[in-house]
Amino acid sequence: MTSPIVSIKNLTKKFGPTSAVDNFSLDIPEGELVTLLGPSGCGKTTLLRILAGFAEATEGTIEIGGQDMRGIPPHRRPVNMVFQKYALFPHLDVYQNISFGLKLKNLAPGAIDEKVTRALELVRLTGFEHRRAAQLSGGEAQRIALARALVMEPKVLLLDEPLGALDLKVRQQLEMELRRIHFELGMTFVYVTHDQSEAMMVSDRVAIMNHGHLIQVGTPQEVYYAPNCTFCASFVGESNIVHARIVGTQAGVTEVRVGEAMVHARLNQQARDGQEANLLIRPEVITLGRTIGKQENQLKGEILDVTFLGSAVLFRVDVGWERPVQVQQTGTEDPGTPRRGEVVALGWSSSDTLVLLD
Amino acid sequence: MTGMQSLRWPRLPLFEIFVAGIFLFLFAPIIIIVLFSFNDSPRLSFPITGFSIRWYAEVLTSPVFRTAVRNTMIVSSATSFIAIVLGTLASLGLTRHRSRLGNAVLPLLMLPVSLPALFLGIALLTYFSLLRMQLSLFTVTIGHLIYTLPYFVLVANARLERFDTVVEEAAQDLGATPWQVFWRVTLPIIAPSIIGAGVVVFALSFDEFLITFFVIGSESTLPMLIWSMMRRTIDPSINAISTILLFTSLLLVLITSRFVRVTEITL
Repeated sequence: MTSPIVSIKNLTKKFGPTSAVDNFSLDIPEGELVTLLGPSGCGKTTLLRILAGFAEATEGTIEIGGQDMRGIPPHRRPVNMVFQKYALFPHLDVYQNISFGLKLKNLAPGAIDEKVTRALELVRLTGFEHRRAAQLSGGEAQRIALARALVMEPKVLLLDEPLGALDLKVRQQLEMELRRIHFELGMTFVYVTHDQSEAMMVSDRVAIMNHGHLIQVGTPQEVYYAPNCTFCASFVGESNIVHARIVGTQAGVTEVRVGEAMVHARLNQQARDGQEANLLIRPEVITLGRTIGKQENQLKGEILDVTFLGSAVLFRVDVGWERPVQVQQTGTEDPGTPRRGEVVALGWSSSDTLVLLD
Repeated sequence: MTGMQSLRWPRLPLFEIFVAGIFLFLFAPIIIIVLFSFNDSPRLSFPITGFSIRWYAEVLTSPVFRTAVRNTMIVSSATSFIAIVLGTLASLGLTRHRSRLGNAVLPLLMLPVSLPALFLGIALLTYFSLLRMQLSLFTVTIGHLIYTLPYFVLVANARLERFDTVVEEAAQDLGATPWQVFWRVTLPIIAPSIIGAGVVVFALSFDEFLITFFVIGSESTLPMLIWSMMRRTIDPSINAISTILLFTSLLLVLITSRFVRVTEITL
């Protein structure tokens, strides 16, 4: 295995007595798009700013391309950043914005021209050379900011909530664009966001952070289907999380008690019998109907409400647990769909049920 | 029924007439001075006997006037230049580093605004004589600086408060040293506001009289010249000088407003 392009070791950043980033370690292989995902205040932006050199770590080291970054100011780091609020230079036009860094490198005008042209092609804004920053829409401005950073050919591109200030439609479009650009260039991207669906959409790997700690790192599939804690399970995707007690494990299937019901589930960690735990059931794995076939887990409950979501229907069903169970059924609402107040059967398999210890 | 009654009568635009009256009262002296500056007769009374630019010709050829203009230009230019340099640094410092020191410095910096110019003039005169400084255009410039710097900082702060330093980080990120960041990003962005504030300082210094009166010594500036002429006789060339002053100030205001508008666009 080749050595990682970014190696973060035991990084801690303290602001007074509180740690914004706490003993964070992560290796990022070259060409990966890794997302730092977490709620606001979890330290993800602080971490990105330390990578860029705008903030100094209290402890720990960062190596980029095998080089220790301690004491190296932002303007001499092999990284470039895309800011949430674009941060285009308002007194310069698009061409001057994109060529800003190249001019500082004293490149020949011909070479600068060529690079700017290619960068504009890459972000699909050819012909925008002489517009002012104020004349651009949010989406265009962020594309120019992206071009301005990419043209520097950094070892690592840092993106600080790059789509955070944009409308939903533009955001979705730019998610696809970012994915394409990442694929075309094969550059390493470190991407900060608090939006889990955005993280799922763009990432090769997602690093989930909370209170300055790295909680879990894995592919979007791993963090969705095999979260290692209740926080990750609730932060990524929709989820039913209920309190449970482990009864025992037989032939790879763990039996847990939730209220009065016994549920068969999957357990990825070591646990004692009788231990307190949480149970994760994703809303879309549950089958709901007046009659359902034989299922490993079966419950009956009364429908509290039915919400039409467009491509799916969301039910909230009272099964006598601490909170109603959410069930998402794909397909449209029709006269045959069970209604509010009906008693229906719910069923799902043990492999779709995860026991979380913490 | 009374409501119906009042509808039938055309409403007198009382408020509009009142406002027009106030404006007339405010602007009449200005108009009169401009009119008399073109009056053929040396008597300052109506009716105006004929159109003439003889007072302007007299003024513009007078060596006393020329010296006064030169001195005024020297003082105003020097004051606005130094105010731009010092004031920009002060404003940058005050808006960027919200510290307890900054909070203490700002009111101190603003103090001259609330002090009577008369007091400032006397204080400066006493101070200069204590230091045994020869009164000259230099001491006038110092006086004007103390008086105008707060205005500069007020105007510049209003813009710099809204300056998003993230563009400076972006520049640094793209390889600019702190020095390059200042010259290529910070300064070009704030330049229109700074020049605008500088013009305000120029205008304030241009017709400053009270402080100048105390600390000028034997030199003369335009306001000083007008004052001394008024003391001797009522010479109609005063009207010409005043009109020149008026239009210079108006021109400055126009320039400033242009810069302010540019600032709004580039924001």
